[in-house]
Amino acid sequence: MLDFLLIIIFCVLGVLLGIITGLLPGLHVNNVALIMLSLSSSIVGMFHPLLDYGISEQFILIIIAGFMISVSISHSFHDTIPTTFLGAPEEDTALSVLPAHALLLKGEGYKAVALASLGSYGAILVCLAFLYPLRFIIGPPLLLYTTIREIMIWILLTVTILMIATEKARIIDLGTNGRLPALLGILFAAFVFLLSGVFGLLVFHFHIQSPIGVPAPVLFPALAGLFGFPTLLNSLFTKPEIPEQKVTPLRQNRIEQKSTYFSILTGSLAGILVSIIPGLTTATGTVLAMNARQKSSQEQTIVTLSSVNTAAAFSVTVMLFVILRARSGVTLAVREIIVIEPWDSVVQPLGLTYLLMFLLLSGALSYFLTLYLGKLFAKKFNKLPYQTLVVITLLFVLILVILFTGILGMVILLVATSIGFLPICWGVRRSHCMGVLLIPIILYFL
Amino acid sequence: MKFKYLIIFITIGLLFMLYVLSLFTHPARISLSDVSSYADQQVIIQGTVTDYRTTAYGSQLITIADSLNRTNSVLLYIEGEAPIEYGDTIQATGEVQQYKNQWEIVVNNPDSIIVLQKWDDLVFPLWELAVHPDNYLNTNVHVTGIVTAPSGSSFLLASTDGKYSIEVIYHSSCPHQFSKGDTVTVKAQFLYDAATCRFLLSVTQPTHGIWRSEG
Repeated sequence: MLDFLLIIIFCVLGVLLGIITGLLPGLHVNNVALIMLSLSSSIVGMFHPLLDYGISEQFILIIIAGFMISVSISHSFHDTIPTTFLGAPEEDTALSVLPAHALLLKGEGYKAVALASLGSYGAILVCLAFLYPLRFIIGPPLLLYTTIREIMIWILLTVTILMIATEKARIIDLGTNGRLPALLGILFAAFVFLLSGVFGLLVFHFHIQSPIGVPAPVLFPALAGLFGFPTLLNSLFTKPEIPEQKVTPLRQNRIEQKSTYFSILTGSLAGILVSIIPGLTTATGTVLAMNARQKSSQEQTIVTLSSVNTAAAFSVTVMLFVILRARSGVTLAVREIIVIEPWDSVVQPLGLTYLLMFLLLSGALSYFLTLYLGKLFAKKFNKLPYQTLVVITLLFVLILVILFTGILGMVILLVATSIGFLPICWGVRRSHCMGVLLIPIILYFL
Repeated sequence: MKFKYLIIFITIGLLFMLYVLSLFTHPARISLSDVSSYADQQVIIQGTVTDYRTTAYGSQLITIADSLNRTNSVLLYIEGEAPIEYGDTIQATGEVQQYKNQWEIVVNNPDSIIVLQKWDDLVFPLWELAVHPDNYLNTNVHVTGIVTAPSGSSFLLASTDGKYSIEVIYHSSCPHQFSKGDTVTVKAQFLYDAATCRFLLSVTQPTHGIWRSEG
């Protein structure tokens, strides 16, 4: 009984911490995991008194791992709130507006949050349904992972070509005749991908140190610069006018519902793929999932993106036991704390069963909390000084970059921000910046 | 010039600056005993291979030790497989991480493992093994000595002064060419047989063998 109570307590604590990290803009869940990783031995020490209550040390370690997983799940739900409400550009001048920002500019910011939490929660259910099939397909007897490993380079190249070739932006600077604008769009996408790749190859050789002695992840300033900073700066310079937000419960007609189910399914499958293949990120996963369907709306893009995010967070935990690979910061931390029993028989290892309880419980809690907080945000949003909020966010990320990665991290942030402005200024998809991971990984497999 | 054109040139310029900067930052070259002070950093490390195995998922775990003090050892985790053997002196570039309370170096690319010296490039007399057995235990060695007491699939290898000797057991499929009293070089794994409380040389791998020394 005490066991079950502890699972609930730790899960709730994890969800609460995930709300804080998720609402802080620019703080990636992997960085949260890195902080937890560096604190893991002191966290374990802190809960040692539980041993006096007859609870095994192994179980204590499992609930600490579960706590970290709850943080990551809660983070993946709640980070849709700052990404929706902050960083929107002025609609008339912007070439590429993120779907959640498009809804915000229509006064439907809450709808964006509601759709995202629906996508996230749906993804958890889909992943749970696929738990056993995946185990037998990816692991023995079908051992798909072994095959994937052998053809990894082709998978990565196909993903890259798909990403670039499906770019829909039209660049009219050299003329508007025939196929030229579309071709230029694709070429520019390839250019952004390539520049990001060169950037990735360079930064992975840097050995940065944190001035305060915490782990210094080189990817933090790189990703904050490629994706976060340019969006926020653009919003600051273009001074968008955000209308009053409507707060009405999400209602969908039958066609929309069907479309949502499909988005959740394709998003979850893409999220699972992200958890298996190195170098694929949720942004790339979303492009793949969106390509799987012919036409789509902004609403469905939001559902898909959040499904990919949460499915990846769920599936990396399962994959840790199936292919014994830690594909995210959180699973690296989990692997550090508990001994991973490989899931090679029919019955899943006890450790995974406990972690699944955390995944499901934190998913359900986060769903309702995100809706509640999203509503709160949408109601109070107009009273908040928008530009000040964006400036505070920028400063906050900047301080984090300095604390984590020092001066060299700032240089990386600067170069990344410059690359991140290219897709915004030219209207191509921002996910091409993922060349930062894909090109180094493709070269590794070559 | 419009910002959207300008940003292209700024980006290329900044990338070039980053490239120049990268020329001045290299991983630290550290000794095996200093690993713990370089957590989460890229380092270059050297040592002798004392153990290695491949996991079911195709990664490789290599233990390297200080050639002079075998108690100083570090585990390397390689994503992929590097062509190494027991006794090779290797250099690895990777990130220092803690895994289950043990320090290990995660090497993302098998190409980051450089074999500085193959184990069989270093030939030494038998007495070196006798004086420093701990430095060579479980590794491949390439030693010289004189064949005494051959019988079936084993013989005694003695030092030239007759002071030390060790049993050599060999598999008939390994190259062997000798007769009693010959001076030979033996490529073998140096093992300890707990049952007989003795050290022995085991000639069982394809790269092992026994050859008559010339001259």
